[in-house]
Amino acid sequence: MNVFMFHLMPYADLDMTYVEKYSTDWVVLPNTYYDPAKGHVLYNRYLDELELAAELGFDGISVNEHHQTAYGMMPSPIVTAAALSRRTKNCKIAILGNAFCLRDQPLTLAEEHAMIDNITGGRLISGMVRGIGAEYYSIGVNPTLSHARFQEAHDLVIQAWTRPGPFRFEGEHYNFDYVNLWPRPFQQPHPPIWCPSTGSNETIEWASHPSRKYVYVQTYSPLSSVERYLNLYRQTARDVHGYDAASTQIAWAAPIYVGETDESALEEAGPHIEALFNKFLKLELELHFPPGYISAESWKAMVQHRRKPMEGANNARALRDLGVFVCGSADTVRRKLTEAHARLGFQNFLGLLQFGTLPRDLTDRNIRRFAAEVMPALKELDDRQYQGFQPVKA
Amino acid sequence: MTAENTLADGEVAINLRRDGKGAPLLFLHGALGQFSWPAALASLASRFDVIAPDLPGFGATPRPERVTRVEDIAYVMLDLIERLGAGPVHLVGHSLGGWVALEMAIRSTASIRSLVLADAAGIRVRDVPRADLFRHGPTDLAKLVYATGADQAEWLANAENAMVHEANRYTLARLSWQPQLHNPQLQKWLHRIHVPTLVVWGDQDRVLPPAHAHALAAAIDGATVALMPGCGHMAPIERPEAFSDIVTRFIDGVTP
Repeated sequence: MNVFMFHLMPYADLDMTYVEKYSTDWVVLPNTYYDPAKGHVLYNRYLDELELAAELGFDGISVNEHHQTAYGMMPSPIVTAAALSRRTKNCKIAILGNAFCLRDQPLTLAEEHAMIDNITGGRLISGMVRGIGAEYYSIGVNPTLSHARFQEAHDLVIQAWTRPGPFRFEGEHYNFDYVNLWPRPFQQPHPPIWCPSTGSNETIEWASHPSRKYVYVQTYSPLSSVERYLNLYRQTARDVHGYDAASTQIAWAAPIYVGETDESALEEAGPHIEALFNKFLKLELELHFPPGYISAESWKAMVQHRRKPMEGANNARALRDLGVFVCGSADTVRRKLTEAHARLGFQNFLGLLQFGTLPRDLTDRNIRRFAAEVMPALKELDDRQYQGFQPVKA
Repeated sequence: MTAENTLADGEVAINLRRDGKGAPLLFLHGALGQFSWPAALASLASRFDVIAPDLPGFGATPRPERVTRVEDIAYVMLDLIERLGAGPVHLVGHSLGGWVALEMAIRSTASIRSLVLADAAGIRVRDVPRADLFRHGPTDLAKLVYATGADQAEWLANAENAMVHEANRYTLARLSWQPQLHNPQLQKWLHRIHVPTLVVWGDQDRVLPPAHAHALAAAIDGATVALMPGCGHMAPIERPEAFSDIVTRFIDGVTP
C-alpha cells in the first residue's frame, strides 16, 4: 500500500468565539480574524510537518485547495506544492485537488502542474475536483454549470497535456485559439489523476471509465460509507465498464491520531477533531450546496431533513466509533486500518495527521508514531491480504 | 381565468394565465413567492386583459436549453407578444420580471405601450447593498423579502411556496448567479426607453433598496417613482389593492 500524509493547513489560531457572531467560517467570516503574523508561523509549521513526513518515508504528501475560509489556508495548492517540490526528493506530491473548473483560465493551472511535474521529475499527482459548494460563492462561478465546467475543463487540460500544440479548443465554457503548453508534463502521457469525493455515484462512474481509470479517494466518511463507495467503484468498473478495477485505483483518506493508549489518544485528540467537525466544517445547507451543485433529488432529501451528512457525529468518540476518525494506540490504529484493507483492498491510504486545532507538539508526535509503528505494516499490504471483491447481486 | 400553453416561437411552450377585458397588460412575475397569479392581478383584470406567463424555467414553463440569460427571456417575451397579437401591451414587471421588462424595452418598445417596474432587478447602484437571495435558508429569506412578520409567516407556512421556491431558485441561479440580480451592460442602454414609465417600490425593500427605484427613474426619460409605504420587495403581493390602484391610475394617465 502507498501511504500519504494529507494536510489541510487550517487556520488553527482562529478565535473560536467567532461562532457567537457568525454562522460559519466559510465565505462570510471577516478576514480580520486572520492574523498574518500567526499565519506566517502556521504555514511554515505545516510545511515542516509535510517535509517531516517525507523524511520519515511516506510515499507521498498531499495538499489541497479551499477559498475564503479558516478551514484551510491553501487557496492555491500550487504554492504549497511548489514549496515542497524542492524540499523533498523522493515522495509523490499530490494536489488533492485543484478545482480547474473554478477558473476561467484552467490552462494556467495546467501549466503550473506541468512545471511542478518537471521540477520534481515526475512526482506530481494531479487531483481534479469541483470544489465544495461554498467555493462557488467565493469565486463567482455559476454552480448550475459546475458539472459541465468540470468535464470541459478536464477535457481541455488533458488535451493540453497530451496533444501536440498549438491547437484550437472550442467548447461551451472554454474557448482558446492557441493551446500549446510549455512545458509539457514530465510524466507521459500526463500526471496520474485522482478524484477525491465524500461519495458520489456520478464521480465514480466517470472516474472508473476505462478511458480514465482515475484513482477515487473517499474522504471524511463513516467506515460504512467508505465500504459502500470503494466497492461501488469496483462494482461500476465491472458492471458498467466491463473490467475489474485494480486496488491501486481506490484510496481512503481519514483523520488519524496515534496515542500511547486508546484512552489517552482520544483524550489528546478529542478537542482538536471536534474543532474540525464542529467549527471549521460548520456550513449552512444553502452555503454548502448552492443551486445545481448537487442534483435536485439530493437537495430535496437534504432540505427535508435540514441536515448535513455528518451531523450527529459531532463528538470525538462518535466520530471514532463511526470510523470517520481513526484514533487509538498504535496497535489499535494498525489493526483498524489492516482490517479495513482486508475488507476493501484500497492500495492508497491518506492520513490527515494534523486536523482542526491539533498543535505542533501533538502533530509531530502523531506523525512520528504513525510512521514508526503503523506505516511499516501498511506498506506490506497488497492484494494478498485483501479478501477480494464480493459483487453485490443485482 | 384561462390557462393555456402558447408556443412563443415554435420551441418554448409558455404556460400562461389570462383574464379580464380591456387593454392588454402583460405581467412578468418575480423569482420568489406566489408569482403566477398574485392577488393584484385579479384586481387589474377588472380593467385590463391581463396576460401572466410563467417565465421560462419558472412555474409550469420549462426552460429550453438556449435560455441561459435574462436577455434570452426578453426575446422569448417579445416573441410571445407577437404570437398573441397582443401588442402594444402595458408591460408590468416585478423583481426579476422587471429586469426582463427592461431588457425587452431597451431592445424595442414597438410592442410596449407603457412600462411599470415594481421592485425591479436589472441594474446596480454603487455602494447600495443588495441582498444575496441564494445564501439564506427560508426563514432568513422570508425576512429579507417581506416587510411584515405576518407576510413572512404566511409565505413560510405555505408548503407549495417552498416547493416552487426550490425549483425557481435553480433557474434564478442559472440566469443570474454572479453578477446577481443585474446585468452590468443594461444601464448604458436605458436611454433607449421612450414609453411612459412608472417605477413602483416598497419603501422597506431590503432585497433591492429604494435607491434602485430612484436610479431607474433618473436613467429613464420621464419616469416617475411611487413608493409604497410598509411594503418590502413584494409590493404586488403585500398590498395587492394599493398596487393595482397605482398601476391603474398610471395607465389611465397614459391612455386618457
